[in-house]
Amino acid sequence: MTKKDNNIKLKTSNSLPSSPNGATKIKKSNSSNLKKSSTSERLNGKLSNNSNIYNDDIQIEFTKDDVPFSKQTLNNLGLLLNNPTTRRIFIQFSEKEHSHNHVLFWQETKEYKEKFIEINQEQLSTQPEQQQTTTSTSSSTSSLQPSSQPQQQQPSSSSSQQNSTQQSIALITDNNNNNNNNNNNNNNNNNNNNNNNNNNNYNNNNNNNNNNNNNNNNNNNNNNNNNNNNNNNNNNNNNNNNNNNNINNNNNNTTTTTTTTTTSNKSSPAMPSITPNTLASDHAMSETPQHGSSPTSMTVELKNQKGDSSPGSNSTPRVKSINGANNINDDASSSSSSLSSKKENNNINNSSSPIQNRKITNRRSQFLSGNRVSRESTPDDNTDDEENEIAMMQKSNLKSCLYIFDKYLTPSSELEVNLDFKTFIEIKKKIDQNQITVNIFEKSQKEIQEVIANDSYFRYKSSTTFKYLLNCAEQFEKDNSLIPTSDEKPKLKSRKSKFFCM
Amino acid sequence: MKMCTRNKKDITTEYLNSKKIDKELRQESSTLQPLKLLLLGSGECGKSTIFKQIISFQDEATKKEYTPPAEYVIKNIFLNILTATSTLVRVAPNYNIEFTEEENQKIQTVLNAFSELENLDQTIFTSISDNIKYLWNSKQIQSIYNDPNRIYQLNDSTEYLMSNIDRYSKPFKPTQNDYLRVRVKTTGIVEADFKIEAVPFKLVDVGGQKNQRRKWIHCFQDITSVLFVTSINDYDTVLEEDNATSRFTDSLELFREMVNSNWFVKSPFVLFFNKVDLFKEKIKRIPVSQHLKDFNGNDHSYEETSQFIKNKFHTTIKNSNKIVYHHFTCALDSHAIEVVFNSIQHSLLMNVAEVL
Repeated sequence: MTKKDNNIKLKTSNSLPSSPNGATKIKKSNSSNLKKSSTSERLNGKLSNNSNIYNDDIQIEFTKDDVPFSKQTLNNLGLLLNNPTTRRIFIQFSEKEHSHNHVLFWQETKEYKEKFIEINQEQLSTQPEQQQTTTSTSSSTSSLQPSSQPQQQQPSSSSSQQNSTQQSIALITDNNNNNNNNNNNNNNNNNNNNNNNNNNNYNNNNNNNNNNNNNNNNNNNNNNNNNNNNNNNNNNNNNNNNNNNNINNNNNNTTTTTTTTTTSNKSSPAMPSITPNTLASDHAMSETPQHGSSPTSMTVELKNQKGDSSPGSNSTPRVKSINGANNINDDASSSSSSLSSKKENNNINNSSSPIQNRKITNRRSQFLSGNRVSRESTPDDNTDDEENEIAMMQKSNLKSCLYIFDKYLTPSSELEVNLDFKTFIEIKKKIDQNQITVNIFEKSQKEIQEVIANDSYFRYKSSTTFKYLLNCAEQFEKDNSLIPTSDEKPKLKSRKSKFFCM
Repeated sequence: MKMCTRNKKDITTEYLNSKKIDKELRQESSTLQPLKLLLLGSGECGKSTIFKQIISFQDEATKKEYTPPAEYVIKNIFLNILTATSTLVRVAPNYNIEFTEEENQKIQTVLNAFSELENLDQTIFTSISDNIKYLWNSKQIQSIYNDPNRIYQLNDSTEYLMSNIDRYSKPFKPTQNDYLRVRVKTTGIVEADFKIEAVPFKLVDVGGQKNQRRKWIHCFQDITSVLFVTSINDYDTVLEEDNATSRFTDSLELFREMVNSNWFVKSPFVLFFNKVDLFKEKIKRIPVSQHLKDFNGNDHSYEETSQFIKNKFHTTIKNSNKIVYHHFTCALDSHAIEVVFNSIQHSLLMNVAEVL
C-alpha cells in the first residue's frame, strides 16, 4: 500500500472520529446508503455531482462511509477484497453475472475468522496450544477489554494504576504478573512479550483517548455504568473510553471504576474465569467489525500489514502519546485523534496477531451475553457460568461455522461455491469431528480467491465499472487536499445522523 | 422565395425520410431480439473453449473486448502446469511410486512455489521450469500419467503445456493455441454480444460444475438455441466435484434434463461431441466396453464407439420432433469449429426467417 493510500485513509478516519454510529453500515449498503445520500455528502465535490452513475448497469454511489481506494487497491484482488467499498462494488458487479456467491463466501469466511472465539483453558490438552490460547486471552483481555483489565489489576496493583500514566511500564509488568496468575500458566514467558506489546499500545490508546474525549467520556460512562458492557451501540471509541477511566482514575469518573471493580472482583475469585468478562467485552469489540462500522475499524483491516510489519513504531509513539496525554487538554486536536486512531489500529492488530481475534459469533448472542454479564455482577456461581460460557462459545463457533457451510458449501445450497472436492471433504470431516478451528475455512478461502482471480476478476477488470473506479481512484489522489475542507460538513452531519440512529 | 420553398421542401422530405428510417430501425430492433445461444454441459467439457473460438471468429472489437490480456493467460498457464505437477507428485504414493532424494528436492521446489501461488510470476516459473520438465519426463511421472486406471483429476491440456514448457520458461507471448488450451474454471454466467451480418447475437457461457448449475436458470429465458457440449473422451473418468460419479453418466443425465426441459421446448439443440481427438487416442488404450457395459461392438473402432455414444444421447430425447443437430468436434480445431458454427448460424437464421 502506498503512502498516499495511507494518508487518505488516515484522513477519513480523522474526519469522523467522534461519530462511530454515523459511519456505520458499509455492508448494509443499498437502503441505508440511499437514505444517507439525501442528507449527507459524497467523498468529494466532483463525485457528488455524479451521484447516480450507471456502469454495466451498476449504480455506484459513494457515501462518506466508504473507504477510499487507490489504483493499487483495485489492481490487486487481495486488497480489493479487503477494502469494504471496493468489495461492495465488486459484489454488485459479480451479482450481474451470478458469481457473487464467491465474493460473499470470501467475505463471510473473513468475518468468520474475525468473529471466532478462541476457547482457552482446561479443554485444550496440549501444552503449546494452551500457551497459545493464553496468549490470546491475556492479550485480548489486557489490550481490548475494558472490564478485564481492571480485573487483573485491581486485586494486587491498584496503586500502580494511579501512576499508570507516568509509569506505564510498571503497569505492564504488573499486568503480566497478573496474567500469569490468572491464567494458571506460569511458563508462558513468550507470552509475556506479547502482552508487553499489547499493554503498551493499550496504554497509549488510553492516554490519547482520554484527552480527546474526556467530555464524551463522562456522558458515556454514566450511561454505561449500569451495564458495563452494553456498548453494543457504542463501538470502539466508547469502549476505549471506559478503559481509560478504569485505569486512569486520576482523570475521570470514579464511579465507573468502582462499578467495573465490583464486576471484576466478583468474577476474579474463580481465577481462570477471565472468560465471562472477557467475553462480555468481546461483544462490545466485535460490534465494530461486524457492523463494518466506524472508519477506524475499516482502517484496521487495511492497516493490518502496516501495524504488524513495523513493530518499532509501537515504542516510539508510546513515548509521544504519554507526553501528549500529559500536555494536551480536553480539546480534541485532530493530530492527537489521528494518533489515537492509529494506535487503536495497532493495538487491535497486535492483539489479533497472536491468534485471530476472539470474537463472539452472532449478534443475538451478543445481546444475550450483554444481559448475562450485568447479571453476573450479582450472583456468585461463576464456575457454572464459566462452563456455560465455554459451551456457549463452542456453540457459537459451531453455529457460525455451520452457517457458512450450509450457505456456501452444502451441495444443494443456493450460493454454493465452486470449491475443490478435496477441500470440501476436509472441511466436512472437521465439522463432523467437531474440530471447529479458526482456520477451518482458510484453505477454501484461498482457493475461492484463486477462482475469483482467474475468472470473474478478470472480467471485472475489463468492465466499464472498473474503469470508472480507476478514475475515481485517480481523482481521489488528485483531490486529496480537498478532503479537509469538505470534512467540516461530514462531521456535523454525521453527528446528526448519530442522533437519528440513537 | 423559390429557393426558400425548395429548401424547405428538401428539408421536409429529408426529415421525413430520416424519421421513417428511424421508425423502421426502432421496429426492427424491437422485433429483432438478439439470437441467444447458450452453452451448456458438465464441467471441463470444453464450453469455454468453444466460447473462445466463436469469439475469435468475430470482428476485432469483439475479440478485443472478450479476450483477456496476455499476462492473465500467462499466469494461468503457469498455474495449470504447477497444479498438474503437484497433482501427479502427490498421487504418486497411491501408485506405489517413489522418488529419489534428488527428485524429492526438485519436487519440493515445485511444491513450494505451488503453496505461494499469489507470487507466481515469470521469474519464479523460470527458476523451477527445469525441475518441472525433469519430473514430467521422469519415468515415474510418466507411468502415473499413462496408467489406465486414473484416480486423480488432470487437465486434458497437461501434455500440451508440458511439451511447451521450454517456451514458457523464458518470457513469452501466449499464442492463440495457448489461450485455447489453458484451463480456467468458469464461475457465474458470462455473456458476449456481437453481430454477424447485422444480426445481433448473444453467446452465454456458464460454469459446468454441479455447484454452478443452479445458476443456469437465470439465463434460460428466450434462448434461441442451446449448444450442449459433452466431452466424448470422458467415458472412463469421474467428476471432479465428487470423485465418484461417472462423467459420462452425469453428462448424459444433464442432457436428458435439458433437452426435455420446458424452457427449451422451442429451442433447437446443437450437441457437440467434443474432444474427439483425445477420444480417438484413448479408445486405443482404454476399451469403451470396460466402462460402458452395454457396448458390445468393436472397442477400437472409432465409428462404432462414437455412434454408440451418440445414440445414447439421442435416446434420451422424449420429444420426437425435437430438433437436435450433432457434431463431432475438437474445440481446438479453429477451422472445424468455424465450419460448424457457420452451419449453426445458417440454420438459425433460416429458422428466424421462417418465424418472420
